[in-house]
This record gives sequence, C-alpha cells and structure tokens, in this order.
Amino acid sequence: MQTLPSSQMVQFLDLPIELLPLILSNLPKPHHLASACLVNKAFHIFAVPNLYERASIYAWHRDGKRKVIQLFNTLAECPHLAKYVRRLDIRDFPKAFTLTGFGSLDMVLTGLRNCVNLRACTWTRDGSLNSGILTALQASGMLRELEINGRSEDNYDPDLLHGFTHLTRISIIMPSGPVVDRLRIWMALTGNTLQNLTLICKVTSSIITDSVLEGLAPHLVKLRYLYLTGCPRVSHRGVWAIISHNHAGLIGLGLEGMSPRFDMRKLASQCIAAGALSQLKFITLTVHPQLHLNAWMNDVSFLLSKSPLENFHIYSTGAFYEAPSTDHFWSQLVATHGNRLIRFSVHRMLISLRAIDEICKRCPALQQLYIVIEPDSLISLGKSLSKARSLREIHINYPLEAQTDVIPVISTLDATSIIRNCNSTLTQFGFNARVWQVSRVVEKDPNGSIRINPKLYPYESPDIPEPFLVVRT
Amino acid sequence: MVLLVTSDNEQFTTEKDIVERSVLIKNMLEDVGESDQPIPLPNVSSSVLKKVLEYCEHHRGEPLPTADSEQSQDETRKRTTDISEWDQKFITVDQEMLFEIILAANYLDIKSLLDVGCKTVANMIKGKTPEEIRKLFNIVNDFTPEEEAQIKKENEWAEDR
Repeated sequence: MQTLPSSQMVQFLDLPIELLPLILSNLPKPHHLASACLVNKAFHIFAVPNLYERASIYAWHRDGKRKVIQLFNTLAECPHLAKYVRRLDIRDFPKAFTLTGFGSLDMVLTGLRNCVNLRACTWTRDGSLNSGILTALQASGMLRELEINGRSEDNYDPDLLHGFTHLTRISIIMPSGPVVDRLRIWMALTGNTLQNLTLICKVTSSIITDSVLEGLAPHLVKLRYLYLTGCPRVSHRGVWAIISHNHAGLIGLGLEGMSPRFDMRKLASQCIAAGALSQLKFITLTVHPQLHLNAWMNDVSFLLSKSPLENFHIYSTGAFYEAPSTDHFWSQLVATHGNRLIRFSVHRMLISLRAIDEICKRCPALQQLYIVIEPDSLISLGKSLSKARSLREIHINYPLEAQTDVIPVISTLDATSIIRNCNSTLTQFGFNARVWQVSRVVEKDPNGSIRINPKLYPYESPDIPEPFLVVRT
Repeated sequence: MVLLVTSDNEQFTTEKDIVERSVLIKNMLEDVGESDQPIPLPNVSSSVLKKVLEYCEHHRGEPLPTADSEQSQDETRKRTTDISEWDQKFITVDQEMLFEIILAANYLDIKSLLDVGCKTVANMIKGKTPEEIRKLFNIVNDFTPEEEAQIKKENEWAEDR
C-alpha cells in the first residue's frame, strides 16, 4: 500500500469548517464546551452558542454560588454572549441579604435583561427571587417557560406574576397563599397558551384545594400536562374539574400525595364515561398507607384502560410495600400497555424478580426501567434485563429500610456484570444515589480482533437524571 | 446495478438500494434515469469508498432521515455519545481514515454516517484540555494571551473545579 507523504494525509484541518458546529453539538457538558472555546478562534465561534444556549447552575455544583455570580457577570458585561441564552436554570443563588458579598443585584438584573432570547427560566431557591428579577425576566418577550419558587412573602410582589403571559409551561415550587390567590387571574391571562402546569407543595400544605382547582379549571382548556405534588386537600373532585374543562386532552398527569379522600374509582368512572384521558401517555401516582391497595390498583387499571400509556411511574409516600401484593397489578399493566410502555418506574415499593422479568420480556419498547429490589436479588437481575431489547436506562434502588446512614454503593464488578447483560442500547446506569453514563470502549485482542465493552463513565448531560426527578414528596 | 468510479480509477459495482443511502448519488441517478454510464466520484478514493459501501450495505433498508424529521433542539442536546455497537466497530479506524470517511459522508450526503463520524471526533475532544485538543489535531493557537485570558474569564462559570 502506498504511503502518502504527511502533507497529503487528510487531517482534522481538512474538514470543511461547516462540520465544526456539527462536531461540537455532540458535547453536552459545559466544561467540555468551555475547553473547546479555547482551542482557536474557529472553535470559539462555534462552541460559544452551544455553551451559552443553556446555562445551568445547580445546588450540588461545587461553588455554585460563586459560579452563578460569575455567570451573571459575564451576561451583564457581554451582551453578545447573553443573546445566545435560551434556557437559564438557576437552582442555586445567594439569598438577597448575602448578595452584597458576591456582586450587585444591578449586575444580575443587567445580565438578565441582556438575555433577549430567553425562552425558559428556572429560579427555584427559596428566598432568592425578588421583584427586580421578575421584572427583568419579563423584558424578554420570548419567555415561554417559567419555574419559580412560590414563596412571595418578603421576596417579591405576587401581582408581578400577572405580567407573565403567553407562557406554555408554569411550575411553582412551594406556593404560598398570596401566590395561590393570584393563580386564577394569572391562568385567565396565560391559559390560552398554557400546556404544562406543575404545582409542588409541601406534604403538610393545605394551600391547594379542590375549590382552587375548580376556580382554575375554566382557564386550563389547552393544558396537556398537569402535575400536582403534595396536595393533601385535593381529591378526585378538583382533578375532575380540570379534566372535564380541558379541550386539548391531557398527555401527562401526575397525582402525588393527594387527599386520603381521593376516590380513584369515581375519577376513573367519570373519565371513562366521558372518554377523557384518551391521549394520556404519562402517569405518575403515589400510594399511601391508608389505601386499600388491591382495590386502588384495580381502580388505577380501570382509569388507564383506554389510555395509550407509555410512561408509568408510581411510588409510596409512606408504608413500604412488599412485592407479592403488587405482582398482579404489574401483570395487568403489562397486559394492557406492554406493547407501548417506554418507561416503567417504581420507587419505594419492592418489585419481584418475576415481575421484572415479565416487564422486560413483554415490553418491547421499554427504554427506562427504575426499580427497587432486595440486595440479594442483584446478581440474578442481569438475566431479566437482557430480555429488554430497547433498554436505555436502568436505575436500581435498594429498599429504604435496608439502608442505614451510609447509602449502599455498588462494586464496579457487580455494576459491570449487570451492564454486560444489558443490550447495547444501554446508555445510563444508576444505583441508589448515583448515576453513570454507559459508553462502549473498543478493545483489541492480541489476535487483532476488535471487541466492544460497555463501561461506566461520569454523567455528562446538563439535565438532572430522570430517576432523581421522579420522587418529590 | 450501479457502477461507481473512484478518484483512483477503481470501479465498484453495487446495488441501487445500497448506494442510494447517499443523497448525492440518489439525485444523480434520478437525473440521469436508466443508464449504464458509470458515476464518477472524483472526491472519493477506492479505500474510502469500500468503507462507505460497507456502511451502506449494513444499514440497507433502514429508514432514511427526511428533511422534516429534524430533531428538536432539546432532543439534539440530549443525544450524547450513543453510537451503536456495529457503528462503533466500523468507525474504529485511524485518524486519517476517520477524517476521510467524514469528508466522503459529507460529499456523498449520507447523514447518518456523517453523524457517526462527528460523534467520534467529539468523543476524542471530550475531557481534553485546549492544548491537548490542539496537539491531537495539529491546530495552531491563534489567540493572543489577552484574548485567551478574556475568554477564560467569561467562561469561568462553566469550568469544573
């Protein structure tokens, strides 16, 4: 074979420049993009839009508070970078009274106003949101998604919320009385575009009631996703009010920590009779200790019987349920929805190996499986997982009572043995409080043949791993 | 059957449905109509075309991406390094061949192959310092020290430290 002189060898620099954005779009981690920015001017030009498109600061980031101030410094001083920001996730932020030590509020407000293309903003830390920030956010006419802390007292003027119109998604964490009082008018103003409403309250909260939901219902006709968490004064009555007014047809419904008086049979009968939930693909439910579990599970099966369900998630808010009491329910779900199910997720409820095996075998589209198993079942799990041909994510939890103060960790050997059993579609592996990315490495045998082995790598995506998003009460 | 002629004048005979994974060739065939004329590929050498045809043959029959099936921006950001096992083995080649395959996929307009190539280059970049990336790809640092310091300062919030 003729060897070309090195000057004729094709190099990276021979690739057309228009391929560089395509290459860089495959770097999800901000740190990797920040490194790419420093390679040379061409890399900088194409990496910067990706780096700034989504700026996220999470509470678990090392030095989150310092980073958030660095971020706002840059956004304030460099409008040409701020204009790329479409999504801002601020989950850590110094509280107002400590702000002076870090920078000025003016700098934060200038930074926000420079984000002229901002589409989605998350600002969830209690005590960190103020009227100035809300007003600055309204400056971006592009804002469509808002996730905020809902405790307005001592923080912001709740009337300002009425200024956020044309939103498609609203998520409010721990709303307080004054914010709930404004919801009705706010929904009347933005309900015409609103597709996703999430209200997350403390389990002890009594602030969201059936009457509140009945008041909102006439304005939520376009809603596609409704998630209610920690609303012990909401029963089937409030939920039915929203479903019965809704024209668009719900695609996702989350009912977590509802009233002990919630009559699932009643809601199911109403929905089935009205042909509602005929588009429902996502459901999240919780079980609580007062439930008659068998009857409730039958009611849930009935509720979902006419829905094209793809994502099923359930968890216990109190008592821990042993496997045999739930086996029949999983079986019923798989029989009705198995062909479509993409996610099957169970938390704080033990699930038997027999049920897992059935799910893996009978759900050909299954991509995400989150389960709770006893430690001694771990070794046998791989065999069942190998039957899930499309599996992309597996998350394994041990039962809570099996956990002492120290959260159990998994040995690399055990983890590797499990992922080797899984199909090569697997990209994510989680165990209790940790999540890894699964990538395949190419290894050459001494005889020259190539083998591909799955390996665990640190998690890279800026998104919070799904298994951690699903338990909220 | 379709006859292809490479830059080094080698001829390849292949089936239409294999070679039509290349949008360029598909369009050429549609323009020319039924013909025994060979299709010249002056930008692709025989060693690279052999690899490209191996790829097209393996993925034969799979649905081709259409213009309106573009992923949404969120989905684009979600996909990470998910290259299938076969593709990963296929793309385990030396750097020069990797870039040759990318160039050919770009020229022949084979989107899925171009994706696999670009993801592979992205994986090579991941976790490396700017200097290591420059060294890996023979790239010259064209920043002044002041520019470099300014960019470092602007992007400090994104650094893992």
